[in-house]
Amino acid sequence: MDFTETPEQAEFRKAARAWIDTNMANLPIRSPRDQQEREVNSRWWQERMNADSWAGLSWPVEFGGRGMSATEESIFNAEAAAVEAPMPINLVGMNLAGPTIMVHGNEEQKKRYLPRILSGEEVWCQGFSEPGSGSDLASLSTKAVKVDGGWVVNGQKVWTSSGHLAQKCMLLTRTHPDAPKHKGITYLLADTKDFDIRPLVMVNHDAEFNEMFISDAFVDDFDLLGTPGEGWRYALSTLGFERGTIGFNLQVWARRAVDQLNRVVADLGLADDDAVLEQIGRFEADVEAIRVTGIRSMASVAEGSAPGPESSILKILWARTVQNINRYSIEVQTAGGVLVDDGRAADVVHHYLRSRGHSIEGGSDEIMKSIIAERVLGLPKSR
Amino acid sequence: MAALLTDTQQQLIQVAESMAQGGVIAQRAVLEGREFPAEPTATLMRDFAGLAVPESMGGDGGSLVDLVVFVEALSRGIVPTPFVLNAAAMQVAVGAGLDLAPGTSGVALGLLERPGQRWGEWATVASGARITGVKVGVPYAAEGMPIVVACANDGVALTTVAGVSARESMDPSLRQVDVRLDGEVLASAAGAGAALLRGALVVAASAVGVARGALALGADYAKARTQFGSPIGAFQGIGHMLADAFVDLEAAWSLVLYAAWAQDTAPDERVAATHAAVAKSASTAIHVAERALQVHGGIGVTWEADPHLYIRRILALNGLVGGAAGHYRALGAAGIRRSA
Repeated sequence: MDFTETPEQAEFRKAARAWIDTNMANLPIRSPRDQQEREVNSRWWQERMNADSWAGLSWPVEFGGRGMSATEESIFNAEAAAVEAPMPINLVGMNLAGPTIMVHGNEEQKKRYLPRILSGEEVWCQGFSEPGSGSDLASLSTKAVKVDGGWVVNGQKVWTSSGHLAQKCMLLTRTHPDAPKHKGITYLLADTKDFDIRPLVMVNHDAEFNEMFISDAFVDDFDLLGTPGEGWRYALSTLGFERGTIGFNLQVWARRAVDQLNRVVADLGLADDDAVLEQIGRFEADVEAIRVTGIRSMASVAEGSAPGPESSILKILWARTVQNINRYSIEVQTAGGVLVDDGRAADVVHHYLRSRGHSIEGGSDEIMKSIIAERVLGLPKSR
Repeated sequence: MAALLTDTQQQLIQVAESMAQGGVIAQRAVLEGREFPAEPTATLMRDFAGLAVPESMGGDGGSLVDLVVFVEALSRGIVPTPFVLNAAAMQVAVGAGLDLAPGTSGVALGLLERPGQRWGEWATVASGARITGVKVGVPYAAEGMPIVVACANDGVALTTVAGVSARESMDPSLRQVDVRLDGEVLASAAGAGAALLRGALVVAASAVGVARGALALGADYAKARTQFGSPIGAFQGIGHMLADAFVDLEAAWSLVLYAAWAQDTAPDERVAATHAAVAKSASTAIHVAERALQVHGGIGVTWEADPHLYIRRILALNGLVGGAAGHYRALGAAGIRRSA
C-alpha cells in the first residue's frame, strides 16, 4: 500500500498546473456571473484543452487521446479544480459517449464521432431517463420504429444534462415492445436537431438539465449502436463509465466546499469554538476519506479490476459530505447565512441548493445502497 | 508501487484471519470468567511482536501499513490478546525513538490519567530521572512491567510499572488496571505527539477490524433470519442500514491505511492524517456494531447473542484513545489553518 506519487506523476502534475495557470489567465470571462457566462468559459476551455492535447488524457492514442491512465486524468482534474477552472463543455461526450462508442461502435462511427467529441464540435447528452422511468430505467417507453434507411422515434426524455447545448444524444429507445423489458431496447446515436428541448429550472435557478420531447424524429441507420434489441447491455457500459469517472472527480469538489466553510468560520471569529471545530473535523475526515478511497479505487481499476461497487461507496460518501458541508456553511452563519444580498452567502446558498441533487443524480443513494447490500454484503435482492 | 495491498500484506491478512478463528468463543469465555487463553497470544508474541519495528530495534523492518492490516484482520474475531496494545506501545516507542526491543513478555501503553480526559491533555511529568503519576484503565499492565507513557507537552517516557490496582472493564479481556508510576525514566523524548498518535492508530485499526467482524455477523444474520416469508436482508430497511454501515467503515479504513502510510512516509501529513483516522474509526466502529445488534432484533439484546461482545471491545478501545471528539477538534483546527 503506497500512496507516493511517482516522479512521472509529479512531473505530469507540474505540467498540468502550468498549462492550467496559463489558460486561466486568458479566460474569456474572468468572473462569470451566471450559467450562460460559465458555459462560454466551458466551451472555450474545451477548445483549449483539445488544441493542446489535454482533452481525452485517458483515451487511447488511436482515438486522439494520450493513452494515459485514470490517475493522470484525476491529477489534471484536481489541479483544475484547485484554481476553480471551468468544466469542459463536453464532459458527457468525453466521459460517457466516447468510451461507449469505442467499445460498442463500428469503425465508421468511431471515425465520425470521436474527434468531434474531443474538439467540442459536437456536444453530447444522455437520453436515458424518462418521466415514467427513473431508477427503473429499463422500463423506458420512448418508441423507435424501423423504416427504410433508419428509425422513427417518439417519446419523452428528462433530466438531460447539457441537452440545451448538445448536437448528439445517446438515445435509449424501445424497439421490441413484446420482448422482456431488458431485451427490447435499442441504443441510437441520435441528432438532437429535431428534438424539442426545454430547460428545467432547478431549485438554485440554474438550468443545467432539460426535458426533451421527441416526435417523429428520424435517426439514420448509420447511427444505430451495435445490434437492435441489445441496447440495455450498451447502456450498462455507459452507466459503468459514469460511475467510474465519478470517483475520480468528486473529492476536489468536496475539498472546495470544506475550504469555503473554513474561511467562513475563520472570518466569523468561530475558529476557537469547540463545537464548530469538532464539526469541521468531521467534514475534514470525510473529505479526506473520499480522496483516499478514490485513490484506492483508481489503483484497483488500473490493476485491471473492473470498476466495482466501490464507485457506489464513493458516490454516497461524496453526496452526503458535500450536502452536509454546504448545509453547515449556511447554518454556521446563523441569521447571515440566508441573506443572499451578500455575495458569499448567495454563493453558499447556491451551492447548497444544487447539492441536494447529488444524492439523486447518477443513481440515487437508495439505488447505490441496494447495489452495496447485494453485491458487497451478499444480501438477497430487495425487488 | 500503488495504493494496493502488497503480496506480503495479503499474506499477513490470511495469517491473521486464521488466528482470529475461534476468537469470538474465546472472548465470550473470558467475559464469563473462564481462563484467559494462551493462544494465539503466545504465537503472536513469539512471531509477530517485531512487526513494523525497525531492524535496528530488533524488529522485522516492515511498514506501519503491514501492522495495521494485520491488526485489523486479527481483530475481526475479537481475539482476546495483549498483542494489539503491545504493538501500539511498541509503535509509540518506534515513533519517539525510545530504545526498546520487541519481546515476548510485552510492554504496556499508559495514556489517559483521568475520566473525561481528551487526547493530548497529558499531565504526567517526568522530572529529571524520575517519573511519578497515575494512568487510568491501562490494558494488560502488571507491576514491574515496562510501560511507555504519555507525558505533558506530548512527551513520551519509558519506565516500569510501580504498582497496579485492578479495575473491572466492560470488556474484561482487556484486563484494564490503574497504574501507579513512581520510578526511573529509562528513556524519553519531547514533542512526540506524532509518535503517540502512531499508537492510537494501531488501536483504531483494531476498532475497524472489530466493526468489520460485527458487520459480517449482522449481514449473516440478515441472510438467515426470515420474517414475512423472506430473509430480512431483502428488506431495504435492513439492507440499506447495513450498506450505510459499510460505507462508513470503508471510509474509516481508507483513513487508517493512509495515516499508516503517512506516519512512515509523509511527515507533513502524519499528524492530521492520523487524527482523521482515529476519530473516524472511533465514531464509525461503534455505530457499525450497534447496527449489527439492531439487525438481530430481540435476540440482539440477549446475553447469549454475540453482538454485545463486539460493542464491548469497541467502546473499550475508543476510551483508550480519548474518544473521537478531541481528534476531530484537532483536525478541524488544522483544516482552518490550511484554508486560511
